[in-house]
Amino acid sequence: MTTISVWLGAFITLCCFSFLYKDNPFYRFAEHLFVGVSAGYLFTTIEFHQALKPNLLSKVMPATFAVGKDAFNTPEFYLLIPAFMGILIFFRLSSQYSWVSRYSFAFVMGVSTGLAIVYTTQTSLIPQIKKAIVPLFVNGDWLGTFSNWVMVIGSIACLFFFFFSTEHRGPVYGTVSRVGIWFLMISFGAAFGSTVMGRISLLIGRFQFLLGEWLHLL
Amino acid sequence: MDFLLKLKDLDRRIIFVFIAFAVAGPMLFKLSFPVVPGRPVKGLFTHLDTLAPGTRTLLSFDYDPASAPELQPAAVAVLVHMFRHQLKPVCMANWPVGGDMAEGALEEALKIFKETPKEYYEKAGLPVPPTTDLKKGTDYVNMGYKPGGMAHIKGLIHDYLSPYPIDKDGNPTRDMPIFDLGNGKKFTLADAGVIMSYTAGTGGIEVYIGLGGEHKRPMAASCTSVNIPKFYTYLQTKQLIGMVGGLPGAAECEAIIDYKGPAQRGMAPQSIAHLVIMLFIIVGNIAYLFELSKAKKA
Repeated sequence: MTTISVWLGAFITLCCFSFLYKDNPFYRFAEHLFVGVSAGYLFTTIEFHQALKPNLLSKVMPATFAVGKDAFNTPEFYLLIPAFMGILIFFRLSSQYSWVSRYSFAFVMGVSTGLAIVYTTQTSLIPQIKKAIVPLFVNGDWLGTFSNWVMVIGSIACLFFFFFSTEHRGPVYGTVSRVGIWFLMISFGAAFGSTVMGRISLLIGRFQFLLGEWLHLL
Repeated sequence: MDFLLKLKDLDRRIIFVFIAFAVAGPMLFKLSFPVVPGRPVKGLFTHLDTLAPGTRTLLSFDYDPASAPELQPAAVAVLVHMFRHQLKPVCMANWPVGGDMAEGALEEALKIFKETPKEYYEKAGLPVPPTTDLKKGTDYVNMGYKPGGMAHIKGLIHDYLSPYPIDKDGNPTRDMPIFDLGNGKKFTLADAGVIMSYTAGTGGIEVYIGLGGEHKRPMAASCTSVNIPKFYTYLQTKQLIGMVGGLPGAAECEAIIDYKGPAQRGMAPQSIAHLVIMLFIIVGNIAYLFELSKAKKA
């Protein structure tokens, strides 16, 4: 069984790699297979067994679906309300009644937006502003002093660059926003370098599989 | 010098061949480069070393097979370290196939843990674990995937078991010893010695950081290389105690646990491939400047 799965994995990997030469039926086969298998696996194995069954069916009909002591729990019928709202989303598939799904989407969007505003402020905004307020001279630590200067200048210059209500010109505004561009360019370089590193890492993973598990050359 | 101009129009497939050789060559010739753990990775392991044996830790597997080459080796290494220190990992997932990724990582980590020689514990000054035959539900558990993201995690802070009446394999969780903290108290997110997320994109460590003010637990992240610049800001603000960045971070974890796994073996191909890419960037820029000067002369 392991041998078959390794050979199948190697074949699918090579099908995907074949796209590097040019688009071809092998690549499209692998692509469609991936979409189909993912959708099927996601619904049957994961969403049903790890979400729908333990969190809805076993609570609404514990005697039938719950296991262990939970089978004797009192049914929680209020869960039928979110279940009903979930079913409404399927109306999206009908062009005539797709408006029905908007009630569920509106609920999801309202909750998500409310949570996101509060927690994004807590996660990013306040801690980052707090950390950007640093002493410009650290006693006996030249590296720390330099680092703090870089952070303060970088933060202010980048904020200047994203102030669009005035044209980026003049000795003060123009110069500072240009410094901001340099800081942004450096951060884009770091992001690009990290992305390249990530893609190479994925390639290494596939080569380790092909040369090791499949061809036994490693 | 017209050779330089021709390089500007080099077929991308030739570059692919160079990269393939740069990756495969060091693997076949078994090239090996030294790996020195950096401060972000050390920060995580130093914190794990301070936790008392038996402490529950929360590992969130928020990735899928597409990011496995980068994140799986780190997951395995951290799990091995936890088992050796007799910590009890509670694994869960905010990504649909995260539960399966956790299953694979646990299987591999248990194998490495079982093969750990006694000399390792003597060298590290650690007590030898009473058994290497760890039991699911007692020494570790895999809860699988749950949808809901932030709303779901928020609920776990006060009541962990309600959304998880069963684990990934369908076993009832209510009587599992791993969730029994003594004095009739059941495990919640706020009892975890550390919260660590293996994050490939959204719905990972940032969800836990967002709720940091409520659960107040130390957090760490293992992220894909693409996310490293973004997550460094959380290290700087000390919202994270440690970070494992991409495959190099995973290699550092393997170096700390003294195990030469796929991440450490991947460092030579990674470095050589980076050199090849740098070479192409330099040559491409020289060709561009040459073309510019030629146009000016004309």
